[in-house]
Amino acid sequence: MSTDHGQGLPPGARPAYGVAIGYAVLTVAALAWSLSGIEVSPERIMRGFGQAGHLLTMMFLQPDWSYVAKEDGLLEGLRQSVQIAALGTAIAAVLAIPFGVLAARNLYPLPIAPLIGKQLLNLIRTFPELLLAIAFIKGIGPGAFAGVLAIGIHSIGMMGKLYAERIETTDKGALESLRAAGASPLEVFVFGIVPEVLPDFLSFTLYRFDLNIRSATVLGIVGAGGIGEKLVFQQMSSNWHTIGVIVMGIIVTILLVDFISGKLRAKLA
Amino acid sequence: MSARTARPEVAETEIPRPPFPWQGWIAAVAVVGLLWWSSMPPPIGTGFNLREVVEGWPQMQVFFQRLFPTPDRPWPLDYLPQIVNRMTETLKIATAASIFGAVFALPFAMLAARNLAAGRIVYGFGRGLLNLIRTIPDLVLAALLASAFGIGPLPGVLALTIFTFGVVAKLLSDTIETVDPGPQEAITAAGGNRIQQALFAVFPQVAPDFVAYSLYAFEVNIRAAAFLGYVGAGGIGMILNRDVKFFNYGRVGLIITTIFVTVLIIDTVSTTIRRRLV
Repeated sequence: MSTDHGQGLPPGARPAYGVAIGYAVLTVAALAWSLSGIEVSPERIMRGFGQAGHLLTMMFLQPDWSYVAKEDGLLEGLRQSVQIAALGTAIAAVLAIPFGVLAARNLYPLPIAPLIGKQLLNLIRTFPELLLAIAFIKGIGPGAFAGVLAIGIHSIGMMGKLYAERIETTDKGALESLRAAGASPLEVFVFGIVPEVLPDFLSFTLYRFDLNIRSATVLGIVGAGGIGEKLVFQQMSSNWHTIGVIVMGIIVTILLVDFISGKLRAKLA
Repeated sequence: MSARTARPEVAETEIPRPPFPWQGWIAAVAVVGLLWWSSMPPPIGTGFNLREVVEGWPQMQVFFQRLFPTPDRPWPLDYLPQIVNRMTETLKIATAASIFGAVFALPFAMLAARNLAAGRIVYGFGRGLLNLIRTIPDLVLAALLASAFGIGPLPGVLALTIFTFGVVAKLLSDTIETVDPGPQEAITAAGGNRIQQALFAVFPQVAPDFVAYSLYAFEVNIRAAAFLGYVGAGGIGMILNRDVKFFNYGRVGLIITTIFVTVLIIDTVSTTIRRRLV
């Protein structure tokens, strides 16, 4: 590399070698720290890959298709996961509305309520979903019920934030003309904001449903119902031919929901 | 995020769409049907209803109260060193996986971007692989790898590396497709090959995004890494699982608080850096 690199260019266009070197040093240091204490040996890795090949063969080349329609089998688990995601998303879509209204800056003369609202939503979003699931399992017992509540509460964080941001970008002109015509704050909200934001709110809900389908397949690992529960159960008894069917079922379901949700969102936009 | 931040200007003369088209009614009926089906009693649905939530509420309250210390039931602080130890392992797993995943993602993202990929077949294959990887939930992957590689942090690192790779490569290849083609054309005109284009025309433009996506993956990885222990893949999840099972409420409260505070700190720092970058 030539040393006069970047000369004669404006300052912003000069490559920031100092910054790049700083990042590189920081990254290498972090990597060295993070790998300390992890037992890795070439033979463990090799053995692992060999074992993985063996398991993958059982899972995908000799899958036990009879598990698909079996009582308490794949379809049963997937059905539960989809239902958990649907109910959880619906709960969040409704409960997020008051939070979104609370956190939207353009609805209040002073930014006190929005500030509180935004912080509240941040806290909800940050609290890990699986911790909520564990808490609900302890409170009301294991099963799909706890999963619905965990997804329903956790999703409020992101949906409330998206709602609030969308309300904040509503057309100011329409709101002002409503106010000029003597509309009350409630009327301004119902006639000025709701019709404009509704398609986007539905779009956010569909997007969140996408994410929640993924969560609903994992929640079972801590005991909150769905296909994840069956996966853990089958793993305990090392039924790899069945696990292959479960993994394929999860992939197909997620791809299908992604596809449908994407199409619907494209229509709404 | 796909959220639109501003609406395009609408011409005055444009005819407004009907507020609720007929497709809307079909969709509404479908949604109500889906929710009704989902809340049917167990053999058909989840049996979810609000009455049970209300009835179960006191029990839930008792559980939450027990998590927090009172004068006669203080938190078992002598347990803290063990928690810190395990949380450190969780942090290490997430850090190693985020770095490895991001490093692998960088060259792959270039292969899976339309304006850099060597031909349609490479592009199609790259995109297909990324889409497939992203459909496998991180904890499912960890469960499978724990069976192959044996329990401990190693399968956790591998699972989250694959997850990070999928997320960062997807986001980065999308960004690469939107870069300014000028520098790339200049290098092509000067006789530069595809690798030189990638290094000197594309990478400088997407470097801040690359760091931002990697940090985002790190935020997600911390959360996942906290629960890897449930499937035998190391970290604080292992002791959480045990203490939840044995009803050690004080310990569970302490662990939950530790996880939450750690996630909160990392999210705040990472989001602040990301906002400055992009």
